[in-house]
Amino acid sequence: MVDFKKLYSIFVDEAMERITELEDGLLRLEKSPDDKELINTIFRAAHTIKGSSGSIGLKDISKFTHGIEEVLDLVRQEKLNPDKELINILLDATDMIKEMVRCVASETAFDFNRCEDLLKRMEEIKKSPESGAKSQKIKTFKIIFIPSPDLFKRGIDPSIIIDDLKNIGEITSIVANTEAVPILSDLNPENLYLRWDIQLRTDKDESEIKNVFEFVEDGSDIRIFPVNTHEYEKCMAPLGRMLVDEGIVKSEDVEDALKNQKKLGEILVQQGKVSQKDIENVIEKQRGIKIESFKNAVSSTIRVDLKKLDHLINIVGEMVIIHSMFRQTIRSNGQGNGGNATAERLDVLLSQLQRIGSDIQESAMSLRMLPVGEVFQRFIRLVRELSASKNKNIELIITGEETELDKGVLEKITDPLVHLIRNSIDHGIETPEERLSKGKPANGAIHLSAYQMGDSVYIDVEDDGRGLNKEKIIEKAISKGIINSAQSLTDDQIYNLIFLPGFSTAESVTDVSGRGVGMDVVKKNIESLNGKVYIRTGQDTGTTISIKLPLTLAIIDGLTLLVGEDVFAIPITSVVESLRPNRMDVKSLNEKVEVINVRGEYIPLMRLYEILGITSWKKDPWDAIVIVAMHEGRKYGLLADELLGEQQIVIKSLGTATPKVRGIAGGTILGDGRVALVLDVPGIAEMVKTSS
Amino acid sequence: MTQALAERETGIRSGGQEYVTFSLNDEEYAFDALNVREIIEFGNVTKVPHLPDFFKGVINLRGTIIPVVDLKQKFGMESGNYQKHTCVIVTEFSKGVMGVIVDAVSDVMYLSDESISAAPSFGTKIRTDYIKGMGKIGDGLVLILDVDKVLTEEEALIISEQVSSQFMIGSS
Repeated sequence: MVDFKKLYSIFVDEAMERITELEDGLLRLEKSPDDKELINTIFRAAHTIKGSSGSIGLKDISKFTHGIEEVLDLVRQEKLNPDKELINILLDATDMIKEMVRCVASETAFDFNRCEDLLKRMEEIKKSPESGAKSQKIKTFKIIFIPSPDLFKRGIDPSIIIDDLKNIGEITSIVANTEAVPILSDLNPENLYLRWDIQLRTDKDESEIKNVFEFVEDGSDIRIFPVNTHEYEKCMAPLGRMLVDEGIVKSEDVEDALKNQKKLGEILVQQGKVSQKDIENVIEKQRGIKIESFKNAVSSTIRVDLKKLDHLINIVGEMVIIHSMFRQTIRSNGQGNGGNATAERLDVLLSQLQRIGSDIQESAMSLRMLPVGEVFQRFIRLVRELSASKNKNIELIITGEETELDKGVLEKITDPLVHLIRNSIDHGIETPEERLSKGKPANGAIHLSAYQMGDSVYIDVEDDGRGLNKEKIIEKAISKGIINSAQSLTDDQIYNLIFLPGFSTAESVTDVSGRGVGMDVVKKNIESLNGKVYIRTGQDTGTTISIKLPLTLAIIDGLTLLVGEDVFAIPITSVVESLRPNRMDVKSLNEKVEVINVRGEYIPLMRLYEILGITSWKKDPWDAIVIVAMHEGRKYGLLADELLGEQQIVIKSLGTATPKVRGIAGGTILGDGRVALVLDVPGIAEMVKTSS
Repeated sequence: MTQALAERETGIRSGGQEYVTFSLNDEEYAFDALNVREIIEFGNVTKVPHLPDFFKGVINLRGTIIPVVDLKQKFGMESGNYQKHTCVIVTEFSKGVMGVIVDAVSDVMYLSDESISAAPSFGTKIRTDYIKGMGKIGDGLVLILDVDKVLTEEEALIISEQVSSQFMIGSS
């Protein structure tokens, strides 16, 4: 037995990619069922998974994917129509593969029995091509033919009737039922004891089938049911299906019965076994599981465009050449050539090296950049599932998929986006009825777009729902004690209240007006990426949440400053200005809290040397410098000894073995190789709150 | 003969291990060589606020930032100025990578299992649970330290100190 385990991680990465392709393709196929190329792409994806799993001995995945492939093959040959039903089965199957692959990744066992149901469903949909036959006219009829026992006496051969049936359509199944045949001693050879169950595919209607039986009608029992396979497959429980098959009841009756049947949850509530609340919680949990499984999808490897890699390798090649040029120049200096000329030459080489260095940096950074489409595409599925569970019809429109973002940012932005999209589905977009009454189209739309402006990338989540309700927000904010009155607040400030911690609570999940499912978390996550969140909203025209993100996480512009003898850096995005206050403008409110007056605005003053526990000689603000930093719309004055300058910094972690320290976000390496600590403005702002 | 050669080449012999020995105030200690990544010169430490004194700060190890601790301070020994021989043993342990400041690195040597006896239960300057065993080198003795215990023991300590230091900010 060959050990394939080494290959598993490669397989998992590749399979996950193919699964995304598969998922994507299926969702697009639903919209454009005639796209041949698309069907081929989907087929290839499934085929690749089957092939690669089989080749490394993952028989379960290979076997299961084979089932999917067969269904897809029928679609490719236009024998099956990719309707919603079929796509649903295939999507479920895709989820199943995903889970199997995940089991491979975590090296846990997967119970193949879990696939049986899906395999069966796929088998059924394959066997009944009429379920989605392209021509609507072709119908399937179930015919139960119980001939009168004296048929032979009347000189009629039942096989002729069956031949006649063949002339008007295709008999897909025929079973001679021999139940009524008595034991030999009782058997009258002139009597006909057989009955037939026939399935007929035809474009003729019921009356024409009846005509075939015209001559045998007397004394015979002939039942003809149109079989609407679509409905029949979908809503009938196995029992119902069998009852219809046996001709005991009509399919409509079963459908009616099913319609009257209450959902399990409702019955349990009625019986007082569980409360409505519990049911809702569980349903919410179900949705949660879907979202969770969605979040896990970002892999830790990265796919790089070959062009980018080639470019990088070219520059590295240049660097090697410069290196040898350096060596040559220095050697020729040793041979006694003019020292001055050598120095000049070295200078030129050095500036070239510098250029190459920054090229390499840029190029290496670009390797981390990924198109947002990779993440966006997956939201289509999420919107589809979540909106269905809310009985809303919502379409997700995606633009700007090619916009690139740092992989790190992309990973961290996924959660907040899920939150925002979920909010739009749950609270933003109205029910179809409500929308129609407002004169809007019944189907809602969420527009997810990404674009680059300057050195920032914007991601907008725009819905055409009911918009934020200002009054409700004010009401809630007052009841939660966040504000006392809304009088001095601008509209913008009011809308931004939803981002405050404490505004959104668990109960707002069911609160229709509350658009606050963890909005503070969304904001916090985005701010941890040095990003910003903006809201635009209009009554009944919808809400747009705009996320502004820096192009890359790793390199940011920073200010370096001196406190005592230590150098610190602070991200420039959170700095408003720096100033040296007048003696008059510094006031202490009490022993703990000092403020400075900046053009009429009082902002709290934080002495960095105190916060950081450093000895400093410049204790008077009017001798030192105050950096005004902004966090969550509030300004903070940070007292430093000296401002050193502005430079690009690469934020690094202080190492896993370093304990977390409040007020420090990480470290960066300065030009001289020393480490400078990077100040964490949100952390420092929190200290103000706790100390005052 | 061939066996001895193989041993020298691979550095692996049955029933023993390689150790990195170093001195703290003229006493010899040792780390398991498998825990030691490299040994670097001491210098350019950036202090990190609110950490206990023995936590000297962080250094730049070729582009990666790692924390460093002063082992003498940590053990409550007298810790004076850092000198020419002062160096940092970059160790890997369960929580990551940590630089350990020691007076001087003496040697990398092989100790057979027979030459290592159990840790003394009393009479040492440092806590006995930090000591994995006691090795004999000629006439001298070397205390073999349990890297993981010595370094992870910090966590609990630091967290409690941090809480108190934060409290001090709050009250200042």
